Amino acid sequence: MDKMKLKLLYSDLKSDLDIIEKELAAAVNSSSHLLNEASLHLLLAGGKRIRPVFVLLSARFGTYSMETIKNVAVPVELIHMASLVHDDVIDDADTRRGRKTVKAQVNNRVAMHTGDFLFARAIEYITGLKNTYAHQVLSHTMVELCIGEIIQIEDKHELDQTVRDYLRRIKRKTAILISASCELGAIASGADAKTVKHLKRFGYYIGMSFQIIDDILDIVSTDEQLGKPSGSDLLQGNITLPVLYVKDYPTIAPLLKEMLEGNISEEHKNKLLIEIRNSDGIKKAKQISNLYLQKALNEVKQLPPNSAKKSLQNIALFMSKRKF
Amino acid sequence: MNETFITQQVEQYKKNISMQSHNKTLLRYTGLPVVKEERLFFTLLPLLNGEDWNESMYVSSIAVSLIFSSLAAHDLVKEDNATSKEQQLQVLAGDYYSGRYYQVLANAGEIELIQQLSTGVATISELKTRFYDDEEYTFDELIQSIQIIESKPIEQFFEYYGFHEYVFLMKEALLLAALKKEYNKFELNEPAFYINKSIIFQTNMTDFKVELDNMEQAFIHDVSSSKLLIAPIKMAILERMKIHSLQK
Repeated sequence: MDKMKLKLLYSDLKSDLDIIEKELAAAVNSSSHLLNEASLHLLLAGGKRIRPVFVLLSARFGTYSMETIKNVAVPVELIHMASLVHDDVIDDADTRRGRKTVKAQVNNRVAMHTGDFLFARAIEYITGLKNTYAHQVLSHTMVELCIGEIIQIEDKHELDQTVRDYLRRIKRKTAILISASCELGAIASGADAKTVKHLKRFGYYIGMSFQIIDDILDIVSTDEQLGKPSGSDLLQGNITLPVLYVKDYPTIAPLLKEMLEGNISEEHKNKLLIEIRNSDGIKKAKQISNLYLQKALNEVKQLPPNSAKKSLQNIALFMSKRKF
Repeated sequence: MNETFITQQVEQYKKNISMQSHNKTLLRYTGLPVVKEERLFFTLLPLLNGEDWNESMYVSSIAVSLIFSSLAAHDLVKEDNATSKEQQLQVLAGDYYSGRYYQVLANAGEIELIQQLSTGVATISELKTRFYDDEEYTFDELIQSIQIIESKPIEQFFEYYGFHEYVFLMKEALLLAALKKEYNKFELNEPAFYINKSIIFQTNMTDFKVELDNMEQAFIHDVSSSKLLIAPIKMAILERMKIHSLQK
């Protein structure tokens, strides 16, 4: 994603995001130098901070106080970071965003402890918010995130799955944390129940659109743009939406079978990616992403008048139209 | 209060932990959550010793065991290769149990306890990395780290519900049990994590054994002379700790 453009969209949140960044650095500070190194490495790798941004924007629909809102904005990012560290162990990934992963830097076990440390810090941090319902939302989200990952592993290398299976999976894997970020931001600021509901739905729809685009980019982007090898999700055996649409095409099916059996050559792998890129699978997946984007924008329309509406709209459009 | 009552309570507790952590895929590939028998016993110690034990305490005690199950699942992830389906799900099992402990306590509205336990988990994660970094820790520092790793959430749970008097014995028992297991594994050339990861332990195995013997004597004395524990519980503790007796 073009970080410069995104930063421009965030510009009126800059001072608050700077506070979040400092709080994140303080939250991951550890007495263990290994954990410190690993966590700081993750922080410095940046990331889009899309979840804290949604927390901040959603909180604008209630009584906006950074002292309260940061209790939600920091943990949602920590949870996202922790799950990435553990995902890298699962995916045996050596690089992420062009940097070495914790598991590649030290080993899997230290990556597990780093993720556990970050999850614990996230939970510790959100207890600054004395709202039982908010804790129920976040804990439910954490459990669902995990179930999504478990299903993803079950579905790996499985061609006999439907678009519905895929959508259910990405709902848990990605959309639910973005949805919870919006919902929790609104809850923390005391927004009314109807607004909370629209923001929660907005987060869900934009999360779905975002993940579909991510899955498209995995296939159409270059290694440099992704910061990891192109097509790596597919090579891991993850059957994503663009692939689901074209899996039975005669030019694709045999190559896909080779890949899922784990004996595909570099030449055939490149051929498979080219075939999928040139097929209508990408276009069809984009259409579904756009449908979710429209649903997200409809939710924004129903929100009460507020300057944050325009920002939510712009970020949603940017996320769903991004090129990498 | 007799051995049958104790066994029933522990078995029921184990069933409830399994229920709260149930996921059919995890069960199929990673099995039931790993829970150490002695830890279950010592988590329930105040209940078994006849203290008032309400629903909130019971729910919280399950959350404590879910934390240990989560950490134990992650300790089973191999250092260098976790690419098999079972290993990948081991990673997720730990995350799932961790999410469930938070959810169980969130549904019970126990925000204060969530705060304390999460601080404890962060500390345990920090201390576990001590066995991987290149800092030079003293023998005592490492022993103290092991004690915290083995018992911190139970200590926090006891303190939260006012069972302060049980903390010392529980910590002593769980440290002793862990070190005995380590020593026995080391003697049998089986993987003994703490010892294998620490040069200071490996080069001071005589001290390690002396420390263990002293600890055991002190523990037997503390249990036998305890004014807090009722007779059947004293017996049950000493019986259980015998299970972990040292290889001669």
